[in-house]
Amino acid sequence: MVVIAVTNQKGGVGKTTTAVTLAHGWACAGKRVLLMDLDSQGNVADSLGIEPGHELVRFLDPEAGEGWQPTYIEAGDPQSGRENLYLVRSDKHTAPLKRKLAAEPFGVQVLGERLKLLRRAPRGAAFDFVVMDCAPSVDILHTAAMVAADWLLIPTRLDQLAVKGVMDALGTLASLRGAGHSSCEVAGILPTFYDRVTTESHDQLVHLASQFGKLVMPPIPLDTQCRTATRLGRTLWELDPGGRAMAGMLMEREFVGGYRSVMVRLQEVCGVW
Amino acid sequence: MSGNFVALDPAVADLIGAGNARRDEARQPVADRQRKQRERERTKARERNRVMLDLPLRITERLTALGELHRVPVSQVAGLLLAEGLARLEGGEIDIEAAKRASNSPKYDWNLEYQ
Repeated sequence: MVVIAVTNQKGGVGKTTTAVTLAHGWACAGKRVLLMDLDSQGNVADSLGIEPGHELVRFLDPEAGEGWQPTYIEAGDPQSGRENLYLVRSDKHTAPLKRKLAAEPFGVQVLGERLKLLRRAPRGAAFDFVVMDCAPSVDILHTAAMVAADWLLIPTRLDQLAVKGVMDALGTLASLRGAGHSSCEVAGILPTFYDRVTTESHDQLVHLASQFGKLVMPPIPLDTQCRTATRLGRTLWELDPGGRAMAGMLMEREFVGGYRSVMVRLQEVCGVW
Repeated sequence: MSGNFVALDPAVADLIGAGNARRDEARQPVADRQRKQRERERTKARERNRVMLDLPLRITERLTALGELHRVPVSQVAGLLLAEGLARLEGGEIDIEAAKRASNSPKYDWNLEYQ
């Protein structure tokens, strides 16, 4: 089971679109995927066009103790409406949950402990991927995700504030690793909303690449279908599987960037398949 | 980018290179930019017929051998056989669906198996 946290402390950079697209892509490829929404805005359910919910509260209830079992995830059809894609949704009920966890002495470890139990699930019930869509704020769930995840994927728009969010996320991770609380590694920094015509996009890509080298992945091109997909409650795999955000930009004779290549890159980095 | 070498993803490096080239060209006089544009169009027209394909070695070796046997360019051997194959496909003699196998790669939905 590979656990990936999609995070950036800046909002509006494409975290939810990235988390949903990757999760559904792997589900379409026959993998069992758990998509967790750690943001009380509940955007994952909106992106999938389904009713809001708050499985996260049950999933992370610190009072459940050693008797906790993820049976409601394993049993039955995934409520995402998509084969192989299981959900842990979040909504406004996450706010009191966060206060509860913050009051616990080891509240930041509860998420990791729950995921450890999922790793021990029998074959057939085990998940191949857990994708966590993090909120754009530094709170206990954001920290818990960095503690619990195997890999961090950081989407970022190519503007000054979002790139600062990348630095902040990496700084937080470095602190956690330095204190021995996390062994999470950075899978990549994913530029989003890339427009190869504008000077600012180009300059920020250069800046990002000069700071982070090979961590910077080929970008996701600007594509209005991302907004359309969210509005319609459909994923990019359903709405436009061959579009720019999915297939990338044509350069010379091959396509560069796009979510399909992100999945291939993550496959290599995370050592799956 | 500074003089210090920073290892980059090759695709990212290509994008940055293309962006830098576009910028440099935008700074040139109009006449030079138009000349470069005409050169690009001529190159594109020549390359329109050129494709790069990944083919199994056993096929490329057979195509090369056929080219040498009949003393014709290998591209024309490949072109002839592709044209014949396309005609058979469009005539219903080849079932491309039967050759499809599920792909593990997220880039493609299917792979084709053939002899």
